[in-house]
This record gives sequence, C-alpha cells and structure tokens, in this order.
Amino acid sequence: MKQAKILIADDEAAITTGLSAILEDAGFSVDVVADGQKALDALSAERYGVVLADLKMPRVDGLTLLRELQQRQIPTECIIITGQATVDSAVQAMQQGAYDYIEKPLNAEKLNRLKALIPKALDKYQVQQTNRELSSKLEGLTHYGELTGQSESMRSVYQVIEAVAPSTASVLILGESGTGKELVARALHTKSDRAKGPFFALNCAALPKEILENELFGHEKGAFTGSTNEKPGAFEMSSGGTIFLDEMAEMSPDIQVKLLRAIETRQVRRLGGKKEINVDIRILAATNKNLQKAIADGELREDLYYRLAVVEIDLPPLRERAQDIQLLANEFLARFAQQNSKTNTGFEDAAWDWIMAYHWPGNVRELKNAVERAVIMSRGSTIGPHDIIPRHLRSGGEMPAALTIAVGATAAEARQQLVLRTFASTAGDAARTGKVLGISEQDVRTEMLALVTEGSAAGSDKSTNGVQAAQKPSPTAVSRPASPVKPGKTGKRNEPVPAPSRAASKKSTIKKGR
Amino acid sequence: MVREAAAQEIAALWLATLQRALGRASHDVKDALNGALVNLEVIRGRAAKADAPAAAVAPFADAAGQQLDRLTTLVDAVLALGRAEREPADVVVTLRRVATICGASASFADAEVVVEVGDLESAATAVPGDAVRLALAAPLLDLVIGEGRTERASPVRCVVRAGEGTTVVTLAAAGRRAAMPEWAEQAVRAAGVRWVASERGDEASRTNDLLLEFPRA
Repeated sequence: MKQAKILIADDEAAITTGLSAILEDAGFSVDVVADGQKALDALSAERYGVVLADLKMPRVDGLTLLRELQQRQIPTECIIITGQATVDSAVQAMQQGAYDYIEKPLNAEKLNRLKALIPKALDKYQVQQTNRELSSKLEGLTHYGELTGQSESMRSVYQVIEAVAPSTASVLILGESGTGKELVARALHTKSDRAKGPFFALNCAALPKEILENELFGHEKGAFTGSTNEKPGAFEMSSGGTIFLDEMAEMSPDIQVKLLRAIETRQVRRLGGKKEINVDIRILAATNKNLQKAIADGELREDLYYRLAVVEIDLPPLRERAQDIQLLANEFLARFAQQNSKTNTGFEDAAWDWIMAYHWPGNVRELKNAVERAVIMSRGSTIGPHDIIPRHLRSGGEMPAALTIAVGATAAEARQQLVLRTFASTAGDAARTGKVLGISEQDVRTEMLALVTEGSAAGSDKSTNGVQAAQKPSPTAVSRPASPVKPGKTGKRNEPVPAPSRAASKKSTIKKGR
Repeated sequence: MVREAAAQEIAALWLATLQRALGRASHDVKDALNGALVNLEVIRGRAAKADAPAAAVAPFADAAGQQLDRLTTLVDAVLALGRAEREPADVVVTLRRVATICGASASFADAEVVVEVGDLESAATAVPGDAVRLALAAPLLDLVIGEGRTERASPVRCVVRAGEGTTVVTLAAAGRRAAMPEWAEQAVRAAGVRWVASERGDEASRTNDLLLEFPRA
C-alpha cells in the first residue's frame, strides 16, 4: 500500500525546508504550506496521513486548523509543533484531537522523536482509512441511493437499477404502496446521464382528469376559461431530464392516448396549442395495480403498457424482505431520535417481536411512520411494544389475518401459521393467542418455539411452504423466525415473554445490534 | 529626590515594556534556533553518507547560517537592551535594537520593521537612556502587535532625521495609527521627549504618523 503523504504547515521557510528534507531523507513524501488556511485548502484537495502544524501561524493558527479538521471531518493525524511550550496550549491541542505535540526547538533528540512518531501516526491514519473504506463498502451493501435494504430481493433491484439507469429505456416500477417506487425512480434518474437535468414527479391518481392533462401537457393562453397565461406542462419542464408518472394506471383512456403519442413522437402539444413542441425526456412510471387485470378490463392500453414497461422493476413488499425490517427500523430510530432530540438507543425485545411478526401492509412507509410515532411517544431510552404498536392494533381484532392454506400444506404447518398470525395480531400476547385459538398458552409457546428452532435451522425457505395469507400474505415471521418467544409470566396483556432457550435469547440480542 | 523617583518610574515602565516585547519575541528566538538546528540536522544526516554531493548540503548550510545570523542579531539586541544604557544615549543605536525586538514580537513571521537613518552621523541625545528606549519601544510595540492582528500587514517604517537641535524619529505604517500609549505619556514627557501625531490618508485608510523629538546632547 502506498504510504500517505505528510503536510508541513509553518510560516518559517527555513524550518519547512529543513524539516521536509529530513523527512524526505527518511523516506516520507512531503508537501509544504505556509499557513493554516493553505493547509486546509491542501487537505481539501488531497489526502495527507499526517499534518505537522506550527501552533503560531498567520491567518489560521494551529489550534484553529485542528478545530477545522474536526469540524470538516477531514481524515488526517495532526502533530502540533509548538514554540509556546505552555501546558495550556499542549492540553488544548490534545483536547482538540491532535495526535501529539512536540516542542521547539527541534534538536536532534526531538527530531528523532518526531521521526518515530510519524510512522505511528501514519499507521493510525491508515487503520482509520481502512475502516472508513470498509464502512463505505458495508454501506454499499445495505444502501443504494435513498433506498435501504440488504435482502437478496433488494440487491437484485439495485443491480437492475445500475444496469438500466444509463440507458434511455422507459422503466415501469411495480410494487405495493409504500415500497419506495419513487425512490427507485430517483435512483434511476440520479444514476443516469440525465442526472443534471430536472426530475419531475407527478401522481396521476391525485389529480382530476382535466388538471392532470393540463399538468402533463400545459396550455396556451386562452385555452380554456380562466387560462390567462400560457403554462408549460411536465413534459416540457422535464425536458433534458426524467419524468416520473406515479400511479400511471389511474390515467383516463384519452390521456393515455396522448401520453402514448408523446412517448412515440417525443413531441407534445399544449392544450389549445397548434404547434408541436419537441421534448427530450425519459419516462419512468409506477403503479401498484395488477396491470394484466387492468389491461384485460380495458383500464390500461396494452400498447402504452408495452411502451412504458421496456424494463420492469418489481419492488418486493416489506413482509417479503424480513431481513431488511431490522435494518430499516434501526435507521428510522436513529434518524427520528436525532430529529426529535431523543436518546432512544434501541427496541425492547417485545417490540422487536411485534415488529418482526407484523405484516406491514403499508410497507416501508408504515414502518417509518410507526417508528417516528414510537420515538415521539416513548419515555424511556428504548422503544417498547406500547410505543410501536398502533392503538388500533392493540385490541388485536383488526389485524387482517385470513389465511389461505395451499393444497399440500401439512396440518402442522397450517396450525403453525395460524398460531403465528394470531400471536402477531395480539401484539405478542401468548395468553390471549391461546384464548382466541382455543388452545393452551403453553401450546402457543411450543408452536412459536418450534418456529424459532425450525427457522434457525431451515432458513427462510420455510416461509412459503404451502401457507400464504389470502389478501395480505404474511410470511414475515416465518421467513425470519428470529422472534424470541418466551415462556414465563402469564395472563398480562402484551407482556413480553421471557426467553425459552439460549438460542432464542441470542437471536434477540443480535436483532438489537446496530 | 524627584528626579530619582522619575528615573525609577521610567526604568520600571521600560522593564515592563521590554518584558512584554521579549515575551512575544521568544517565539522568534526559538524559530531562529529551530531553523538553525533543523538545517544542521539535515547536513549531519546527509554528510554521514559517503557519496553525498556538496550540493546536497550547501543550501542547508546557507539556511542554517542565516538562522544563526538572525539569532545573533536578536540575542545582541536583547543583551544590549538588558544592560544599562551608556550616557549620552544614541537615538539611532537604541532605535535599531528596539526595532529588532519589536519586529520579532509581531504575530507573523515576516513582519517588517524598517529603520531609515539617511546621512545622520550621530544622534546623541540629552534624554536619559531608559526614557529613549521607552519613548521608542512603547508606541512601536503597539504599532507592530496591533490588536490581536494575525494578518500580514504593511511594514512599519522608522525614519530618523536631524531637526533643529533635535533628532526626529517618525513612526508610521500604512493604515495604522501610531500613538504614544497613555500610560507612558507623562514619564516620557517629563524626560524631555516631545511628540506630535499627524493624520493623513482618507477615511478608509486613515494613518497616524508619530513624530518623536529627542533634544541633542
């Protein structure tokens, strides 16, 4: 690995010339600047492993330089060379993050000490640099643009975005509400050559037909009553960039015709206008509708579908990527705790149980809102089940819980699913689950424990073993059966159940890790 | 008795001024020493190699020499100003020493205090030595140090010329106001030094020149 460079910041030319010669003779690569401001400029432009800074310099002195390095988070190790060998200045330098300080005059003994200090400081810099690179790589494994997720399904999405973004192909983004379709659209725009151009997002379901048409294509002055000025539409305004049409299947058939024409000719005509206006756009669209059904029902033109769906990206619902739930929940917790000046450090085990077992019909958006609400409502340093579980779900009766048992599933699997869903719907209350199902509390625990054990052994494939939710499939807790189901005190509503085994307890600890 | 008390007051004020100047100049002394040592260390390191060409050490020998010259000048000035002044005091000789120490007291390395003497042969004065030192050092130090100034600024010029029965020293720096500090006024005046501040420049770059008159011996 190439050794990092050293920067000397001192306004004494006689010192910098001599010092750089000594360090170069010792095998280091050295640059020199005459004051603290120039040091900051150099550090912004290039990486230096070590900065040797005089305490007293014009413009920006050594202590100010240290402060700026900390504030700007410039990675380097700073050794202060001080002629003012007061305890105060040395202590101040160390408090502000200096690696060490050395007192003038630099006689042979002190120069030897400096030459011994520099490799250690460079080592520290190198280790921290490696850590930063690893963190960055780790970040790359779990994040993509504004998207968060480390599951296989999300990594596949990232790969498709990476491959498709540089092209001009239209992309149709499919996925339930709250899965992050607009974030995918933004990532496609950001990663494309059009990134410097505008990104225009329009929700087709939110606007009445006439207004949507006006928003898309604009109008000329006098096009309709009250149109006193001309107005360019979204196609014109996003020319050179990307237009994102959310809920595109909600467009009326006649707007679909105009849209199809605009896509084919790359020309639009404003309402009341006579001339065609050339537009250079890339179209991204999204919907949460069943498009085959919409086409079959005549709600969506088939030719428009094929125009828009040159590439399809299918975003998985949150319940199908259980391993992302923990990552997302922890991220939201950190974000909202900071935003609300709270000191929340994590979720209680019982809260995790519920988070992992709940099927999140509103997907990431619902999880985000739940965590934000929990952070705001929480009184302690950790988020408990009462903080995170929405009031309307605490009664347990309103959780959509119908199950479809596929032919071929065993009775044991069906029973297990039923127990799991009921357990989730009672917010982790084993006693109530037993009561609802007409089985003993102990049976509930046994089923849940079996789920944990099987899940640990078999992995996530177990989830789709012939049992699926009818409307809101909820294999979450099965595909990631990390919920620590715990026997113990009974009868109390929503009470967390103590850990039944070391394995389950260990799982719970891992989940809290951030 | 009164004269002795006045002399003691001037001596005390001068020592306080010298202490202030030396406190700030110590950085320059250490820098000069540091510059000399670091460059000597380069020479030592390179000279130890059998095949080291002379060109590899010559510039560092020059640099070390320059730093030692700088150090010598500073030490000479400090030692001379620490001793009792020989009477009658010479305004030019005193000014050179005071300028050396005040220049080294500046907050930045290449601050300049320029002394321009012209053809003046001798500037012996009837004013006692400590009073001459105080009258020159007190305003000069304020002018050089400024108020927490860390930016490089225009050089401070000290111009000496012969007046009518006096030696006149003008202290000036573009954009700055030279003045006799209030705490020194009475003692300096009592010792026989006269001064006048003349204003020049526009509103934006108002400059005060301070003209100090020392009666000849």
